[in-house]
Amino acid sequence: MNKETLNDELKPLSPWLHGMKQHDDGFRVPDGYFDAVEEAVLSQAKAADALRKPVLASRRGGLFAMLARPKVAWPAIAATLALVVSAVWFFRSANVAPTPADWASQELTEEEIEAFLLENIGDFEAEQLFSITVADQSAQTNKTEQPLTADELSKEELEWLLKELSHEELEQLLKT
Amino acid sequence: MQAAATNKPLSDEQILELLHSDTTFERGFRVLMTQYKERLYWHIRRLVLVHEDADDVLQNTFIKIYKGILQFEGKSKLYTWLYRIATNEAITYMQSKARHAASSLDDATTLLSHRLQADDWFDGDAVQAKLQQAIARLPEKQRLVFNLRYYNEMPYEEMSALLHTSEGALKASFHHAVKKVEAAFKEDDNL
Repeated sequence: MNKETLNDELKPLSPWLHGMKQHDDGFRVPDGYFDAVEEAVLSQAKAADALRKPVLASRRGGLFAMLARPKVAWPAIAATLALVVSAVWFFRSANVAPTPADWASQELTEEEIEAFLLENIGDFEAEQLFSITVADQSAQTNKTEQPLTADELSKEELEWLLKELSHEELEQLLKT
Repeated sequence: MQAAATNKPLSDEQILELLHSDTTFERGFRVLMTQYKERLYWHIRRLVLVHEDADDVLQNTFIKIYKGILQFEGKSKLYTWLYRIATNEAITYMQSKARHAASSLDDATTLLSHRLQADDWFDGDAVQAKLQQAIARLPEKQRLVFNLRYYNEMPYEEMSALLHTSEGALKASFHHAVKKVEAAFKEDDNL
């Protein structure tokens, strides 16, 4: 409708304002402002975007929305699986740790049992080892001497005791 | 030759095409900013007057555009949509400032005038400062019409699409504003 230019319109309407328009208006901007503002806007927009996306995903359907975004979904799934597998492995390992009785129930040679006992001699009460031998011997000799205590036995004596024990006696000892 | 071709401004349709693809979105947004930042800045600056305020409003405007550009349906021209966002942001900003600092139009005008004089990025003389003060005394919508026509030289047809007002009403509003600015300037001159 009206394609009249401003000059055509303003000159007869207000010569003073028309004249003012020909002069500088005094507004300035800092040097480089228009380049800097682009970067400022982009960094703000990206920050706002990064905060907004996870919120929107959770609002728009939780897990399904997350699965629709592979960049987020796959690392999350991998991390969850790793956690589950680690937990299962940890608890199973804790439950299946072999006990001395388990060792004894297996088919072991006398030498293997002796070697195990010698290696772990500190884990056993000397009375347990001693009582078997003494009981065995006292049945033969009918001696009434007080049995030795663990503190009174040297390592050599314990080794000797072990050698004296039969296979069945060692199994019985390990089960106690 | 090739550099000239590269620097040729993209059309609004080309910018929108870039914005509608994930891979070219950022490039499209940069082009949009490059092509519109100065026009939007000066539109905002004429309304808020002070550079610091214009900077805040311009950044808010572009953030709104960034978030909402994919909802732009193309019912109006792109620059009309951008100007509308910038105008709304500037008016909201001015109203918020006026609410906090002034209780009447006169107070708000005085405040604006003081802020303009304190602005490091305004080095106009007394006449130019007085002209800005006279424009600032116009009612909000009339001031907007005056600025769009006087400074931006926007045709009434485009202004009509932006402000949803008939071209005739806009022209009448501008003529009325011109007379008021002139009268206000002369009135102050006589004081």
